[in-house]
Amino acid sequence: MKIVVSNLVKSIDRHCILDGVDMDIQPSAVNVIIGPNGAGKTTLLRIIGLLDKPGKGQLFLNERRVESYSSKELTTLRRKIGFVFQHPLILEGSVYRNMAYGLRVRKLTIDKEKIEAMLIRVGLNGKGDMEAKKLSGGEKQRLQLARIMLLDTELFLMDEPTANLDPISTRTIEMLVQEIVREGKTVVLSTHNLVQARILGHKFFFMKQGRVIQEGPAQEIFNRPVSLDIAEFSSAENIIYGKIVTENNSRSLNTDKLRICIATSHEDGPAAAVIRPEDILLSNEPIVSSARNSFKGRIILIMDMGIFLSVSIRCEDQIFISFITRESANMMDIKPGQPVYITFKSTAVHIIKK
Amino acid sequence: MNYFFEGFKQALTLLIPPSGEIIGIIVLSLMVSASATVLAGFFAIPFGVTLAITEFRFKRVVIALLNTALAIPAVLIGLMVYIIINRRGIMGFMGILFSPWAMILAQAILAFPLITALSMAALKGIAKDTKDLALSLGASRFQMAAAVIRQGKFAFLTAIITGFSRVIGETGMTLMVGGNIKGYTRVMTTAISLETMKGNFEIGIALGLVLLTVALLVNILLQWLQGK
Repeated sequence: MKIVVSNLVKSIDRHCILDGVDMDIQPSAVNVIIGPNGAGKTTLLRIIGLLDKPGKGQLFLNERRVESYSSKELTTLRRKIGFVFQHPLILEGSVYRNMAYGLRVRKLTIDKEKIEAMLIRVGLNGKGDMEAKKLSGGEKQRLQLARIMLLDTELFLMDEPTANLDPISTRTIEMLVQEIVREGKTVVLSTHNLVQARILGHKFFFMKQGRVIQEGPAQEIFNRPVSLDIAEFSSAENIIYGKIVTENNSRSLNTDKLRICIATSHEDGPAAAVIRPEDILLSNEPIVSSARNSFKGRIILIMDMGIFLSVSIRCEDQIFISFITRESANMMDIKPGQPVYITFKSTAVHIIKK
Repeated sequence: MNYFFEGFKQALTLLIPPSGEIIGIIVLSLMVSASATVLAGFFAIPFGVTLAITEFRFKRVVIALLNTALAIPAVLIGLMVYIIINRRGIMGFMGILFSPWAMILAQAILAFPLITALSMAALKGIAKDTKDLALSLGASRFQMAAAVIRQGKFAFLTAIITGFSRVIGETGMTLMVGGNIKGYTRVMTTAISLETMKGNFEIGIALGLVLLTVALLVNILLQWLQGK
């Protein structure tokens, strides 16, 4: 299903929720919507899912405006869309009845074996006859997903499907999402969980105050955020606030005590620099290289992140975080309190104008 | 207080075994109020469902009117019905004034806003979720409405029963349009009112006991339904 959202504006009780959203959903991929609470993620998903009417602006499904579909056509269209609600919505009665409902309204045969197979796939085997409302939160969420997977919908809309779930249910749902996409389906998922977003997502949309302020693949959103909100929300490790200054044709971002060389087309003035921790080189001695930025600092914290170490280094008035491998750490024999040098290229500094 | 115990004793002899007249009054009361409740529910429930699940332009106005209707005194409804069905009224040709039909009509009008409001309020909590759930699983608008009604079936029963207990206890309005005609439109409440005026406490007490029993049974039923 092809979905395009164009300048969508939606107000609920005179309160503006969506303020001109543009979005081009990538088919057969996981589209992740991230952003703080109140950004309009749920409202947007509900409109795409044909549960709420778009206000002003347009929603195109299969290259036709939704308003141009008749009520009957909308039902047909809705039958190609599955929705997973953040707070699971469960029908009264058994798990089995919940599974069968979608088939029943479509007047399809209710194949008990197929339902059983789907319950096994989501890890709800043997629970078919159980009162659905008595399932745990994670089980309910898996039931919601199983219910629409059984219907073989083309589009899966998932509103923070793993918020407040136990780790096992979260993992099951993440795995299922990957399987769904492998089958060629389109997923649009909203989440607060950035690790999950990066594991699952192909295309990202960052929303704030009813607008999509940046979209693109992970590298673009997380490494080259266009706004400080994105950098801060995605908890970028190194965000350094300062002022862009041009002196003798060389440009830099100056903090009170540091002068960081940068390559940017932004004008002079207050700005922030984002530097990926993997771009910061650590050394025991100063090194001579083409990299323009080299500062002396002191290690204040070393955190074991599993496959790598996160090292925090204080240089004058700033703290930098660098990721290094365990081997490098052993070789350098680093310890908290030890003086080190950090080095990075001016092109590794991404500038966001305030 | 002696006359009270005397009356109470006589009331029991009237009830066990019940006299033909008392049985007639009880049966008529139940029939009229039950018919009125069913009639009101027939219109009120679909209306309540519509208010709960659809959005339309003047919804707030309609709900405000509905809430106002809840506060209309029963005598006023009696007056309104009287004006409509008396010989000179627009429905005068039917000649139903001072008949059980008039009582049913008035009681149905009284119960209508109550049943509508109760159905709507009960559905409000479950309608949105059931609606989302049904639509997201591919239900048509009609199938969605069916799912909401199914989910709310106990709520409707509760609304109907509350409506019934409201109208069976109604006196003034029923008296106005029914006329309290012995053997024809005399129901429990109008009979109690009349017999008390006449000083025949025993009949009043006997019918009062029956009304209390009805109220008790209705409330037991309500409790049971709400526990569902």
